Amino acid sequence: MRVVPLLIASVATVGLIVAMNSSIGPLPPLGKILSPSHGFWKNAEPVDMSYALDIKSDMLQDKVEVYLDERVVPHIFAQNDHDVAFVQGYLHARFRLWQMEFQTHAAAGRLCEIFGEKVGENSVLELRDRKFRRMGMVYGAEQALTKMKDDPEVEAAMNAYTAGVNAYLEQLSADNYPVEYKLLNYAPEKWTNLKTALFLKYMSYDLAADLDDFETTNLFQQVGAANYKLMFPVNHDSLDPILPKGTPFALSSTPPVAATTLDSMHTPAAGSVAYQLEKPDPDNGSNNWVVAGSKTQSGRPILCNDPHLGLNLPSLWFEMQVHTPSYNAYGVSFPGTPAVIIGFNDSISWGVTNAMRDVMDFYEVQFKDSTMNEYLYNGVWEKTKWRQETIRIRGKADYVDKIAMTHWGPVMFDATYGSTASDGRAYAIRWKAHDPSNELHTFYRLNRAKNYSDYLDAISTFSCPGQNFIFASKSNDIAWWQQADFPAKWRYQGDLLMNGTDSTNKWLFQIPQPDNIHMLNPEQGFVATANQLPADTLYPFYLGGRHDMYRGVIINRKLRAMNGITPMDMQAMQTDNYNVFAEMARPLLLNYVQEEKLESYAKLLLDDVRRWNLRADPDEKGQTIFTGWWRALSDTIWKDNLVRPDKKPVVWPQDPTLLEALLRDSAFYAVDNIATPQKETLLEMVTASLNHTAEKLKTVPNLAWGAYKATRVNHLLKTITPFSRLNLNVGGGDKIINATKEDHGPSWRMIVHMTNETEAYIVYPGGQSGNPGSKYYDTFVESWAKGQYYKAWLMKSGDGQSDKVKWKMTFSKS
Amino acid sequence: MKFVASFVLTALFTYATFLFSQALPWWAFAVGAFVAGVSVSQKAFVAWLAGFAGVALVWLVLTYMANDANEGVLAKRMVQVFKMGTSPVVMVLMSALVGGLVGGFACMTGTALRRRV
Repeated sequence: MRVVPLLIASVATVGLIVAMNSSIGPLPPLGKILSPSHGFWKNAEPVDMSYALDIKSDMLQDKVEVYLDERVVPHIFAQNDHDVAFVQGYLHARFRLWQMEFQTHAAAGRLCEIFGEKVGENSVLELRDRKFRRMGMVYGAEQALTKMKDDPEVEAAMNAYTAGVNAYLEQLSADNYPVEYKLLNYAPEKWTNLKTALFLKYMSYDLAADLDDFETTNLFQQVGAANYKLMFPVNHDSLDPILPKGTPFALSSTPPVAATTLDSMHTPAAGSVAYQLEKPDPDNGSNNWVVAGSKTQSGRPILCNDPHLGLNLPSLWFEMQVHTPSYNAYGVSFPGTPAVIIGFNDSISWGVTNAMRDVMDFYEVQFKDSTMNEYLYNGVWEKTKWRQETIRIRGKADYVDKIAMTHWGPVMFDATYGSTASDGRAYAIRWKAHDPSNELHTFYRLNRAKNYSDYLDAISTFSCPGQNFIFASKSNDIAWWQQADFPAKWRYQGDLLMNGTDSTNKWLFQIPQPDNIHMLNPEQGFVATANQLPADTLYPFYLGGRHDMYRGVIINRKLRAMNGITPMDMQAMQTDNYNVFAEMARPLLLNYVQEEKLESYAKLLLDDVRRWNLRADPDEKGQTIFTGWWRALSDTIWKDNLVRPDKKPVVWPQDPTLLEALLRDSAFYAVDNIATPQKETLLEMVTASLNHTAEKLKTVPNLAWGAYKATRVNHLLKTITPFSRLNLNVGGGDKIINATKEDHGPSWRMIVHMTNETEAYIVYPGGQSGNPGSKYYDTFVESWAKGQYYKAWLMKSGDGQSDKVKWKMTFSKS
Repeated sequence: MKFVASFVLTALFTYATFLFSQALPWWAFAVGAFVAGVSVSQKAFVAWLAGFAGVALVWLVLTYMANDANEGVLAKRMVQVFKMGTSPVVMVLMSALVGGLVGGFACMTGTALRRRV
């Protein structure tokens, strides 16, 4: 029977091919991924590979020459703005395609298309896609596009950028897809202007999403208005605001009269809302400062910026230089949008830190019935508008999410999402990022700005997320504006959930742009912003949000004392590991610890803390022990007061609140543990915390801070650890200028010396190539970890033959 | 001789599909191994060996060269993704094995067809 062997062989062959062409569970298609022609081997870039290119496109208006240096930083020499945007799109796609698209898919709530409904136990549908759809990310991006379309410069730039990305995609065959596409078994899509807008919304989410309102309300119900005010004071004693204390204001507007006070604020009945959604890192902030010529050795300003974000590979940032007949700019860009976002040009430099103000509030909506077709608004039943979001799910039918749209905005939480209440309580989200806005205009204009007036023009229209824009010019101006379209709020408005049936709870008006807090050429000779409050309470508008404190304190202290500053001084400062919070808190801990009640290991740790130099350097054990001790003390003091009987999540007070309360009065009410019959004192709590910390740290082999913290830079798919860089021995941490936590910290460091030639020192923890198979994938990580910088090469038109040029790409009109 | 013939044919076809990979699916080499099997009448087991060896050898050389030029950067990462240690050479061998497996059955199918007909 000759048929049998044929049958068996052919079934085996076809069966194997089919099996190896499909993803089986978490495994990628084996045959495809291991194939030398189509698999990851194609992404294994030869180390001596050339990036030289000759592209002809009918979308270009003129010739563009791109020179890549040895760090693969492109220096783009173009003749017009259109070609710049086109080439930028092409280069972003060439080096960072997967990252660009993945980030916008995440923002668009399209991860289920890639991962299916669940990954292990985690529901991608509920925790990611529905969350962002219902938060109005796509809605906000659509709104932004309407405004950007009306700006001819920005519209042209976006169109050219999109065309550039797509020009790259057109010539990309499946065998050359980035390796992540091969591992996850999907293909890239065409780029659109909407994706650029979505990327900008994602940054708004990362920087201006205040999702704490629910937990704050839960806490408020637990502790009452009086204690809430103690736990979340509007001001801290040690605050060193951006604008010096006592600076008077001359404002054109006054805050609205409060529609309600904290004590009588409506909150939902206890036990009605519980949710646990991932939120942006509360330390998504940054440092920036600029020192005037009066304080520098050269007599010219120096501007410094280090944005603090999640540390990822590929990096959020892509370094580049852009040179046209009208401007010459250098800095970092976002793969996903045109323009240089943080950087400098031949006349000026700029930087940003997060303003941390609350522009996301939630309003309880009362629907007439379970159909949700009508809701109560100022005594009238209004008709709900419905928005449909179709979520495609790999391997399953589409999920159609119906979102009720109200005066306030989308109803993010209702009986179908995030609320366990059986009476169907619903909450609408009012988020500034939903209002049509044109952020690209600001960056576009900053790239070309020549002086303070141009800078102010550029930033005045910036709507969301609120940023502290600092500025320096070669003509010796320094400045800062805290800029966004900020709602004018009364005190505490927006901390808690609000009653959505009453329009008096809305954001009544926008603070006029000239009333935003700012400084121009201040007497103190510097401006520094580090996410602290921008001013004391002489500024009458309520800011909301949670502000940091300690980096502002130490940065201001250092800058006040410094003179004859050089860029090297600024490098030392940006990477400084001094822990000013420990300076303030350690005396308290040492005063109240009862040494005779300590376990033997705890006694050793106490000695380490005593001798510690207050620096979070990689070798210091004191930082590890102090941090654990303080955390244990804070937890044990607050826990009994905060944990609700129903265990619903609450927001925790900030560290400065506890420290100052204890320094003022060691018999601070929270010290006593109400769960125990006896009355505890601070002595007992401090001692017990150190014993507890000692127990925990006993099993840790190496207490040196760098080893303990084990800083890492994660691949965007956190689960693929071989694509990440782990165990970096880096110091610094939260509340410290070098704000490097475990996988969050200075994602870019920049120091710009505004001399005639411009001297700039830069570094970021990543590499220009997003390909894990390229030797340029993580080139800068080591230098960044060591606190070293590169000197930016500011290429000139005539430098084409320089030996600094490693590869040349030519883009010409076909 | 028959073994050598189908082995060499398989190898040539496999290399050819590598050169035209932009226009072909990854499994195109299996078609080549199949054709090599059809061209030579031999025992099923021998055909399987020829197909396996033909593809495995080409894939071994190609991936070895790619890995060498890349100084093991990606293969070192990928072998950890597959949780098979840290040596990039494992990825080279694994690739050759997987390719060879498919090639063996494809070539065997070809010969079975020829003998059936």
